[in-house]
Amino acid sequence: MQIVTTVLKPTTGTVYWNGTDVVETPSAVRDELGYLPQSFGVYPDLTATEFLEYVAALRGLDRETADARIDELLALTNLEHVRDEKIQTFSGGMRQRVGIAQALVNDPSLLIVDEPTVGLDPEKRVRFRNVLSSIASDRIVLLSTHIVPDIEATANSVALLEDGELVTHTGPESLVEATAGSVYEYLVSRADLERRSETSIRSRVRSSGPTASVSE
Amino acid sequence: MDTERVRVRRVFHVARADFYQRLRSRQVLVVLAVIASLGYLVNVGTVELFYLDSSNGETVQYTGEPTLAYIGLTAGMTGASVLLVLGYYLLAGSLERDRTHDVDRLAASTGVATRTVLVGKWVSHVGYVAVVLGTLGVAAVINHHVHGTGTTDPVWILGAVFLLGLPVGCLVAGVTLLFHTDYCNDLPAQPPPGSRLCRK
Repeated sequence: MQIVTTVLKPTTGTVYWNGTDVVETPSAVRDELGYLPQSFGVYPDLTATEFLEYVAALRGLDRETADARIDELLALTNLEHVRDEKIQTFSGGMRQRVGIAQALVNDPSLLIVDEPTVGLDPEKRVRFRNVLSSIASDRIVLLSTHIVPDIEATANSVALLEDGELVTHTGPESLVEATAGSVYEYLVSRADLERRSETSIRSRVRSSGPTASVSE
Repeated sequence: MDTERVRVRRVFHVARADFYQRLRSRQVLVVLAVIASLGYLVNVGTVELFYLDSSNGETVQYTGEPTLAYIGLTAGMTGASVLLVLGYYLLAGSLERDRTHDVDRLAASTGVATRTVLVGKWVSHVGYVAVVLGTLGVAAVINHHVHGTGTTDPVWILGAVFLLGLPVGCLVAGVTLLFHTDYCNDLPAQPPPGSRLCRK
């Protein structure tokens, strides 16, 4: 993610945006980029408005555009009532919403969000997913996450990586179809669970299909 | 918006964010209290500044009367000396703070150039120096009003404090940033830890 956002330079390989090599010409993507890093950093003693003004200036917005956009985003993320309070007084969910607002401040055509729902409670996670889905209608959103339900709920294209290597790049439905016949479910009653040993249950699961496997 | 206006706006906001973040911490109150106390000690003569004359083979110490000029001069010299000796430690940590708070990662994904960030940081440093000198100057004005001779004129005291202290502060602000960004000139493919702001 940090390579795609041009924060880090790759040791090998390159990244293209609209046919331009962004490793050679980072400004090609930076001007159209919104980024919510995994460990989203803020100046904790700044207010939400001040921090968004800071990001807007870095993204090259003029004052009038920035002010209008910040008002709009504070309303979208439901932070209007705390706009003049220091970010250090915010909860984790509120900070994350500041993160979304700053990522959208320049109305980017490419939005990159890295593990955005880590640390959020289930309700806030759902709300965040809804926001993400609603803004994804007219832009590319690159979402990196380990939380499968987030992918199910939001993604229409999934790239699966293992040790930095691309395993597959497909739609969620195709991905589920590809695993057909390889996923097993075995229901154990509470009484059975207490009576039988773990090894016994594992052997029953294995015997239920030729390629079944049990994770530790 | 034209490039120059974008750059100026970026410098202003980098400086403003850094300045607010620094000034709103409790640590700054301690620094300003120490500076004001030091200025007080110098002005009331506990820490004595004097002029040595050995021209007749005998060393004579001349200590000034607490006039407007003397108070302004001693406060200015105190400010300049403190900034020269301790300025680095007072001002250092600005870039480190960005790294600690992970704000640098965000900044690195924008179109802002390293030199723009550094100019903004320098302006913020100079702003902090101005606050330190202002505190020292106000303390000196009060000292003169209470202990000094003649009419108290804040302009002359503050003028002397800023005239002596500000150039030193500006220089130390620049040197501090220089020491924290010296690796920016030769950026490897994989930057060392903490060098995420370094971009050509």
